[in-house]
Amino acid sequence: MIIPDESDPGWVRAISGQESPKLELLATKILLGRLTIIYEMDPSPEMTKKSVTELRAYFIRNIDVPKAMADLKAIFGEGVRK
Amino acid sequence: MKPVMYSKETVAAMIADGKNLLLAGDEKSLQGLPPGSWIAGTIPYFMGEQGGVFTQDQIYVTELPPYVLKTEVRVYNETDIHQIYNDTPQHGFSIIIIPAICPTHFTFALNAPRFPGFATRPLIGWIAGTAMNEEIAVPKVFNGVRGAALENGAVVMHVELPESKLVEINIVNIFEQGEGDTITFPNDGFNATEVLINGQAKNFADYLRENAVDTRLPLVADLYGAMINTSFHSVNFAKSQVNFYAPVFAGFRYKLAKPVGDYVSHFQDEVPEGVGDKLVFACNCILNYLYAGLEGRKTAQFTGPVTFGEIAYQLLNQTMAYLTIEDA
Repeated sequence: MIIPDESDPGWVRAISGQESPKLELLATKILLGRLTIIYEMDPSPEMTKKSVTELRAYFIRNIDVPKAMADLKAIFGEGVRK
Repeated sequence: MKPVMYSKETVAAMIADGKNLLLAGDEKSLQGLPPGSWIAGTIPYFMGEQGGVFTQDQIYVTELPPYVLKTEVRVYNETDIHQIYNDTPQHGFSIIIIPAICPTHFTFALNAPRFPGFATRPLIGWIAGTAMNEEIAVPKVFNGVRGAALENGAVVMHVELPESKLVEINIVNIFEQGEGDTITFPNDGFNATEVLINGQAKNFADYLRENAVDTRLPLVADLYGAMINTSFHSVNFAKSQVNFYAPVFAGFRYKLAKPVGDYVSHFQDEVPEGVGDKLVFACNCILNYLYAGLEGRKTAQFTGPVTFGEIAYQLLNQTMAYLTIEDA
């Protein structure tokens, strides 16, 4: 599966909590839950970029974990490429 | 159910056999074990094969599976514990044990979600403790490679697995958010005075008293369906301060947990199907053991130490954390 670039607006949509994806992994839930709260408290471009980088790095490090990739798909929808 | 509680002599023989072991027991039972590939923490409460049990003689043993490729035991303290997630093998997991009420415990509890690589690799573990009536005893962890006991530090076993194995860490939490007020905290911390109740400033101790809150029920934050508990330690009305067993975090929307009936029957309902065959390690909270009267009662197929805090990526309270391994 290809992890979208940091410039993909789907990352900001995810950390801004605009959508409520159904996630499988505990790790994804607590990481995204925390990043969503950070965004609520500080939506500055610097903090947003930092959070997007952290979330993307999580999926890169878990690219061989099927449930993590299912969570990525839940966040980005069918648009995420295999 | 396979045996999990062993005598000190039997555990010494398992160590001599070169097995990779995660141990939990009273300090006296752990002292003097031979060096080997093991880590341990002090605690005399367990979910044994016969149910909840208090013993200062036997040791709870988790033997890692034979397909483990490599283990490395490392000790961290409050100055380098931030490396923990990035040190975890790409294919594998890490088990961490920290003594309660030491600088490493507080540093990890407050800061883990901000450590580099947080939650990117599986980290599970527990906070070591002592018998509740032993005021003099100090919780300890043991680095089995050196046979050394520590009152401050985190002993960690990094475990490398074949790429064909999938690790997952999950929790069973019978508590969920109640229908009541939303509580937010201005700062991260193990204690709180002023909070926001539905957006209105209020002293939290006063709020608990005025609403006759049952503080055996935890505060619960809902993170995309993961219910994350923070348990009440005490309320100091003289100082108007509320103390917790784990930190609350600024901005999180907490609610008091819904009351539950019988813990064990709720617990059985929450256990996902098929976990038993894949289960490698679990630990449950001392507050569940005490408040729900788990002594002598079984919690499905789960056994493990009963702890002063559970770690599933971060510190949790009143929760059972477990680790499974299955074929990819």
